[in-house]
Amino acid sequence: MKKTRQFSDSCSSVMFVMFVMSCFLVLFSYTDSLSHVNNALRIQNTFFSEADNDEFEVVRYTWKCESNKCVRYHTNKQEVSLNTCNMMCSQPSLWPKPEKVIVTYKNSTVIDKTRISFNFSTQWQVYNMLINTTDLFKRNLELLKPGNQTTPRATLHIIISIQDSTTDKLKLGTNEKYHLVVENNDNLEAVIVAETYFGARHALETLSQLIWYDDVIDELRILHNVDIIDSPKFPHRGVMIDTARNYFPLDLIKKVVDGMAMSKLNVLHLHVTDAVSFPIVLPRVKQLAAFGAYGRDMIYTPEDIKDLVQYSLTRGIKVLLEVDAPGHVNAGWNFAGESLNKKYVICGESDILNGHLNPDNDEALLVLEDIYNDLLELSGYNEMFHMGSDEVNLTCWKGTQAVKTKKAENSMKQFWASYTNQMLERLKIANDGRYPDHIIMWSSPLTESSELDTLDVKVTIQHWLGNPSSILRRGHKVIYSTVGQWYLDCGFGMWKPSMTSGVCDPYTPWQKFYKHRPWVINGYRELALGGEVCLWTEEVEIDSLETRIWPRSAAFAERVWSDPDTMNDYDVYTRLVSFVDRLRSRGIKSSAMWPRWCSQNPGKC
Amino acid sequence: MGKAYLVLMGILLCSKLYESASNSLWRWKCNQSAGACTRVSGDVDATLYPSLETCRLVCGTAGGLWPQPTVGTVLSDGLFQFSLSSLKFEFASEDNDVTTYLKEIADLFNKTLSSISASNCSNTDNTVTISIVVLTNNMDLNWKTDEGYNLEILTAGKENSVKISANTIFGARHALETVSQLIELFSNNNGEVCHVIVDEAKISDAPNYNHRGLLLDTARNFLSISSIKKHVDGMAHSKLNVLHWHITDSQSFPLELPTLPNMTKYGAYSDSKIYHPTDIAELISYAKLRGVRIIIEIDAPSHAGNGWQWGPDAGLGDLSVCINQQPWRSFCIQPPCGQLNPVNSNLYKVLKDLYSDVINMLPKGEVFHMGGDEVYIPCWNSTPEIIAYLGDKPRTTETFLDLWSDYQAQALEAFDSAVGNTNTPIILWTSHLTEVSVIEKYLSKTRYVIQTWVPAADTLPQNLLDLGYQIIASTKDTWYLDHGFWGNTVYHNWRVVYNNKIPTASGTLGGEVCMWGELVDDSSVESRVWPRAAAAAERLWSNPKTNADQAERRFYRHRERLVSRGINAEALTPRWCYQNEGEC
Repeated sequence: MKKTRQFSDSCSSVMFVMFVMSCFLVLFSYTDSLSHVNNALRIQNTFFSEADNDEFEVVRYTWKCESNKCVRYHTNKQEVSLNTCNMMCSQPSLWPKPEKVIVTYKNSTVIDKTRISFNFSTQWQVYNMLINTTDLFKRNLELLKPGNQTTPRATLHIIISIQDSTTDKLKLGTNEKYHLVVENNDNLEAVIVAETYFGARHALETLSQLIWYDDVIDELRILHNVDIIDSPKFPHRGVMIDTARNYFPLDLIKKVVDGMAMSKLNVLHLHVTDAVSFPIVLPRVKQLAAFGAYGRDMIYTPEDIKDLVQYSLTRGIKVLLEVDAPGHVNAGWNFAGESLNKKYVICGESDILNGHLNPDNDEALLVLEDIYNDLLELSGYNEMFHMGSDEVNLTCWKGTQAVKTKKAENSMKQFWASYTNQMLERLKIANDGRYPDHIIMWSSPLTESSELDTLDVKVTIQHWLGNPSSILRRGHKVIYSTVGQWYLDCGFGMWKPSMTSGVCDPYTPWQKFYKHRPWVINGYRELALGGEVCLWTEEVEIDSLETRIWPRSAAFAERVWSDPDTMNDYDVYTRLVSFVDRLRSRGIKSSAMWPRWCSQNPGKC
Repeated sequence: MGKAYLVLMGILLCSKLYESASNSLWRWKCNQSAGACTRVSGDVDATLYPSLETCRLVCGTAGGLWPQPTVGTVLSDGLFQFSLSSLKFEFASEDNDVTTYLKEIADLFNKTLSSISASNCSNTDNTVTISIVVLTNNMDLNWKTDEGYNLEILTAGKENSVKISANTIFGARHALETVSQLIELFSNNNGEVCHVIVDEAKISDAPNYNHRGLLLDTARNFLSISSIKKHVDGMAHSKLNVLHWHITDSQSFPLELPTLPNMTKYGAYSDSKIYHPTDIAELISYAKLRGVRIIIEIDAPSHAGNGWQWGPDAGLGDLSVCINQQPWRSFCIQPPCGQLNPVNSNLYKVLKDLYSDVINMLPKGEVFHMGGDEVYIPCWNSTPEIIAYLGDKPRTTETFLDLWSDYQAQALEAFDSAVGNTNTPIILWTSHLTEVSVIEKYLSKTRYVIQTWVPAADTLPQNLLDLGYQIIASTKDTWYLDHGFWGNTVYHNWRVVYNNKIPTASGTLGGEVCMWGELVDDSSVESRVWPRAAAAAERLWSNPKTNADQAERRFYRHRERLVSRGINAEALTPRWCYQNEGEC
């Protein structure tokens, strides 16, 4: 039975004196000279100057909007904060940039973080998620301005309307579009209209970015008279984290999810196992983690994964779990002991970093089926499935009986394809007799060859290396993760003595992440589902996970959300640095983009 | 059938291993001839160590010590189990200051080793006594300080004794650091976590270089005091002894000066991004306790802009020129621009006040770094006041170098009059003034120490040594920790850092790794510096003939040690390679 619930925040019923800054403003038209913005801001601040005392140990800075740029000035009385200037002077500091922003005339109001009222009606399917999201919205305001709200300020009424509130799973075709209007007529009101919960969530994220901390008055402000229509250019916008080379605790991964939600990224792809470790505890094959995890405290339990899946979904993100095979296996796999003459994994002794499933032992495929079963259950999602399939070393398989038997008629690549078909068959069985709609494999010599046509399924390719033209010509869907452009791990040099340099040096700065448009380079725009940035973690552990990811993944996020044709340096740098500050306000660590002087002097570096 | 068997196996195994894997199925075995700890799964056996960490303590000639001791190291492969509560200190010194210092480092030692997981250790019969003898009362840490020490560990029955002797408190501190690296946590058969110490050892140790430094830049981006303290901790654990604090630059001036409040007023990024004199004092004593001295650099005449704007309002004229001038490419090599005005005589009065304030914050006799890098002639050459001052002189490079050296001479005079002597060593970066052909004309070799920042292939360091200058080497293409994130620079990973060898002639005081701050702030500076600075630490302390490959196991261990002591050191390798020594 479906039941529609009404929800409104308790404080909406409380009467209080409206304290709306805009009543002190001289109304002006946005199209007029921007110096008006400064005049208006100055008028606002004279109201607060009495609250300041006359001690100025440090000369403060104030910012003036000149020719659409914020210019820093020394002053004994600060008038306009950098945040306020950035928000009011040119484009509002939103990241990623929405499709369409109409500001009828720029105006801002001081709001009260304790007086946020929500009003929505929804089906039960997304009710809990929406409640969580509104709580998060309030928590984020709290983080922006910690401490007590000493003076009552304006209430912000948020009205959310979701047309299809039964959609509680995020799929490739899920509508993420939203329409957000913030006005201050009789009331300060934000109206959100979205097709699905996921669009509404994005709208709340955008709304939270229309609110900023003004350090001159120690209050939160909101920009209003704003009308935003927004939707993503690509449906698959991901971050991949390798949790096998080094382990990362669940809470840290959740912080990455927080940052992804802020950036409107929507896929967390966990490359959860590899040859060196197997940290995920799978109910059907627990031995893999027992033997393959780095330590007892370095595992993900089934409860951890379910928790992460729900946590992410609330934030508009789905979790893709990849257990890479048939290569990149080793740790945990030979749990049956070496006395058995048939091992699950071979070549693991000679290359511990890349063992392979043993084609002479059919039971390896049965274990794989158990793994697939567990992964499908744990992620609660079967529209997409990632099989791995990268870097198969065919010489490893050469000596096996299976190859010898078939060799007369088959090339090694054909053998690889036929083994992949056996893996696909296991996936089909695990998925109740049908293939998932999108089966993803890393690009490889197999996917670049004509053998790709011999696979039983038209797979989606996660393209990282080489030329994708043959894949595209064959009409396969593509998720781009171009090495050298969208790899987060490159640039830290060799990590073992036998290497002479890093695998994919040099380091890729955020500007490259931002500018890369593989669908323009390669064509076939309609085959591009989107992209993922990848963090392989041979040289990353807990402390540097976040700083490797941010702000570069945010730069990428604007690429896959907005796909802008041009890059206006002033606009992009200024908005991104504001976004970095916002990430930090929510407790997410981001690398510095430049000396702080450059943030304080927009356009001068 | 096969599958059913497998599932059955799984149940048996998982109940045995997964759910009760507290001490895991892995044990480690030391292969002494290879110096490698090997991970094995198997039954408990007396020759096996319960953890990699305990195996590493004793495996190979230098066990898990970082940096490796220089004169001699003998470690037994036995471990002595004890509870931290039954560890005692004895100090044999008459001097109050020395004893106070020793007590404080003993407290630090206990703090470093204390672990919540080891609070249940009931083994209180075994005792460990650390006795320390310091032969002199010298409390100064400088280029002449003897940091060497001798260390002996003996076990007789239930008594373990650690005997340390050193000429100075700093040697004693290093010895305690070494002892802390001979101790690990240990899960015993009673299900308790205790500590173990190597039961017998003999170590004699002294550094190769007396100046073993890390440069931090707090002007491009501000670093909090707590972040700086973390670096000092990491330095202490790696026996680095100089924190070179590049405290100001053209972007900001975060150092509060009591007689020149305008410097921070105009130059700090914000009220909260200021170092107050009390912060500096606290940091200096914090560092001293960790065997680290702090050398302050106020870079000039270039790299000086924000903070210097107040001259005209104060009636002193332009103290610095080209400040924040645009387009910046015409006036400096990095925005924002700013270069002191050498022709304004008021500048030298201000510099004297500035130096006085800084000198007052430092221990008596401490050296000072005047910067002196990257003067950009087009700035001065486009400043009317300077052009007018030069009058008819041809505005050639040489004229400007002379002007620069005049500045340097007057700045030195200001410093000398502020400090009240004429023999405090001054450090300068290599620049056009330090080129072999001209340096003797511009800079006295008795007053200036030159910090070289040329690539490894450049002969300048050796040439300066040949001329009789003392140098500090900061090899740009191996020891610049900011490289790899801008321009065409490449990241120097720990192996490259480790393998960098600097001149050994006696004029080489030592070296520094440099963390320029354009692209780091509190969020990433720790992992950018650590553990790479520790790789340089072994080069500077031990200067081994071998390279990074031979140091790998100890270095991996040291990285873990830094992390467990609260320093967010970057990962070096998949954990598997740490757990399986030499297999990657």
